[in-house]
Amino acid sequence: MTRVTHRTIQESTLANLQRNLTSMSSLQEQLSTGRRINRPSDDPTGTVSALQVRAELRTTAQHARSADDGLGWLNSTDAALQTTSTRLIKAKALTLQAANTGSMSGTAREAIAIEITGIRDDLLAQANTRYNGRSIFAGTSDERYAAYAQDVPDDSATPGVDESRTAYTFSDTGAGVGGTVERQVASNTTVRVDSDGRAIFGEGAQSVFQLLTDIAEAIKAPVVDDSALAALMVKLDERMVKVSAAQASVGARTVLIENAKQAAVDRELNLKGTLSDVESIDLPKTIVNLQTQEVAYKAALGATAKVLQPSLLDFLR
Amino acid sequence: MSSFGSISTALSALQSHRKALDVTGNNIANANTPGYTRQRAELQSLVAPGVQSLFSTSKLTGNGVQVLGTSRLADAFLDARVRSQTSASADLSGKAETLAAVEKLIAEPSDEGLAAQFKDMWDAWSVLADHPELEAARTGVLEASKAVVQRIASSYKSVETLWGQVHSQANGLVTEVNKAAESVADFNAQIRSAVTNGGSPNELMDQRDQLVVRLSELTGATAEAGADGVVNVFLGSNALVRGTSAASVTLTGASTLDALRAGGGATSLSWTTGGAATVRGGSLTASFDALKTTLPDEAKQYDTIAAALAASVNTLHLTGQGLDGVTGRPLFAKGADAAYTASNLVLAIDQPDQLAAATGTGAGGRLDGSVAQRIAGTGSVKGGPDALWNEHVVRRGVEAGAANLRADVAQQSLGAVVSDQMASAGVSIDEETANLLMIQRAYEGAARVLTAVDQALDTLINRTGLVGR
Repeated sequence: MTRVTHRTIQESTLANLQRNLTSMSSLQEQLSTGRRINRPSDDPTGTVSALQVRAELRTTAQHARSADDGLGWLNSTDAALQTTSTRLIKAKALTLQAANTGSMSGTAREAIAIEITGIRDDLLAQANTRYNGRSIFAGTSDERYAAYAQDVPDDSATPGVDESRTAYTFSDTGAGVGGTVERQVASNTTVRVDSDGRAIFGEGAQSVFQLLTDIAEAIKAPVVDDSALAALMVKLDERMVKVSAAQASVGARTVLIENAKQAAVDRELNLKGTLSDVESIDLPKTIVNLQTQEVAYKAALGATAKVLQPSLLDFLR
Repeated sequence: MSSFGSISTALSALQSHRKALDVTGNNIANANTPGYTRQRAELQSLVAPGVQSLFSTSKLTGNGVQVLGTSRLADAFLDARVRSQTSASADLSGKAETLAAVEKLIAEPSDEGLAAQFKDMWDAWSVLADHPELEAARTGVLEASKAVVQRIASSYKSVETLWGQVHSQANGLVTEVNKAAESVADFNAQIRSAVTNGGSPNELMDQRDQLVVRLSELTGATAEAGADGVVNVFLGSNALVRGTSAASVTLTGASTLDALRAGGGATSLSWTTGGAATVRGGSLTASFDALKTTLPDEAKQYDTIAAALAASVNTLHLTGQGLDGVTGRPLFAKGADAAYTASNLVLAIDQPDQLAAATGTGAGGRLDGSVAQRIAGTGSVKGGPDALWNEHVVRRGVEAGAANLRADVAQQSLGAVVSDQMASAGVSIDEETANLLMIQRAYEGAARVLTAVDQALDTLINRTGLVGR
């Protein structure tokens, strides 16, 4: 039989109280930090998940930011293309009006020519639209303007006028590696957010600017060459098709990014839930555990007070 | 038997029980003294004289009682178990403490750990990829990269500081070992002289045994009893204390983490007279383990991460083009030393425009961000710095968890063994009180015997031969 002395009882009681108090302090740490994992050893596997989910959360937030920025680009592009389209329709109507030589005086045609030249300047301004300080039709180029005109009569304030440039050159870097502006909106999805200005507006002799200049010249001529004007109008139609094709593409890409953004926002919510599942305490459970522990501690204290008191000395006279 | 024999018998009982009372009193006085082992007065009856005299008239009875000595109720096996369990527990809890300190340095999972700083940096690269034209985005990348470099360097520094702390702690422990060994030898000398002079060495033994336990706790030393009550203490198979002479030990090997990592000898214990001393268990084993394995491994981990970071980012950055049109610049460079290490990693670029976000090849314009995008993707690459860090954190977590568990178990079994020891050697007040009663009664009885003999003699001396007076 093991001999039991007051010292052994005292030692073992103290050890038990200490153990009780230790688990209480760990529960209290969990409660006060609100976190189940306060150091890797609390739950190594949970720590892996926590680290991964935290990283994922940051990545998703970054994707959402990129998507927002991409939407800004695409909306600016859409607005510019919308204006371009409207102005081209107007130009076509004016040209048709001018082609009706029977009812048009020379002066009237002169006026129409001036209006068409104005439309050309407008389009040049559209081609040089900027979003957040960057030309949206210039790809990744850092040139000052996307589209350059050598000389625009009547309105030298139009962006893109540069005497040293060949008429209607484009600084678009075009498709190809590093040439397009892309936004990463999901782990494996990048979406192009710029548009190829060179393809939409054309360059040099083939540009919409030159076309409008040619139409204005043709209308201004003393004798209008109908067949030449008709050929120019065919070219105008072709240009309008290109612009609407670009609009369609912008629309499709906008939908893509919006979907990706929605997905990112949903995922962020999901991940936050997961992180909280992994890292955070179950509040009711922890509180109940703490109280159970407290009751056990009090019971141990009570027992100690009882056990350590009596000795044979109490019963001798 | 002589007339006065009974008086001397009663007297021996009185004397012996006074002595027993002293021992019991001493036990009660030391009921709460740490390390005190209860004692017992060993009573023995005095035998009757062996040779009967010529004129002896009756069979002889015993001659009373004597105290043979005060025995010390220690259990050598329990003492040995306490020593070995103490050393195991000190070793394991030391290891757990080191890992807990390392975990504190790691500070994960949190919003401020290295993982979060890595992520800050990759996020900054993503922003740069979206806005290569913005100076703010470029400065953001530079600042975030600088923060990561500093964090890795300062973490390494913290490991180095921790190593230094553990090393000086180990130095302190070694000093304590030498002092304790000397004290044990001194006690041995005193005990030997007490034993040979017939004195009582019990209290000296209690104090010495506590020192021996402390030696086991420090070094995992083993002990065995020698002649005349001395104890010999061994480290491995060599004696730290033999009889009344103590050997001394000293710490050898590299005295800084850098020296150790540069190929300096591992920290270990040696005899002052030369040769390696075996340390098996105890706090010193835990210290050596931290100095030799855990902390250098931790430091190496930061080096590996620094090298992985430099390699993965530089590979991509070298292909890119800065806003100034220059390609082929690395982002991270080596400092004074020849390798990418935690303390030797610096930024090679300090101008925001020099950050290479664009490819600079093919159709790429200067406002291209595709290289920046690829660098931003490094964070999720397998074997990249983030992945290495995560693996490391988890590995340390598992190790620390296991070490805590082992330390807890060792602590509990130490508790059990100590409680066993205390059960056999500790003072029980109840028992001593009962002894007190017994002794008191026996003393009273002996006094009564004395009275009875006295009265008998009174009858004989004063009342005999008075017939008719």
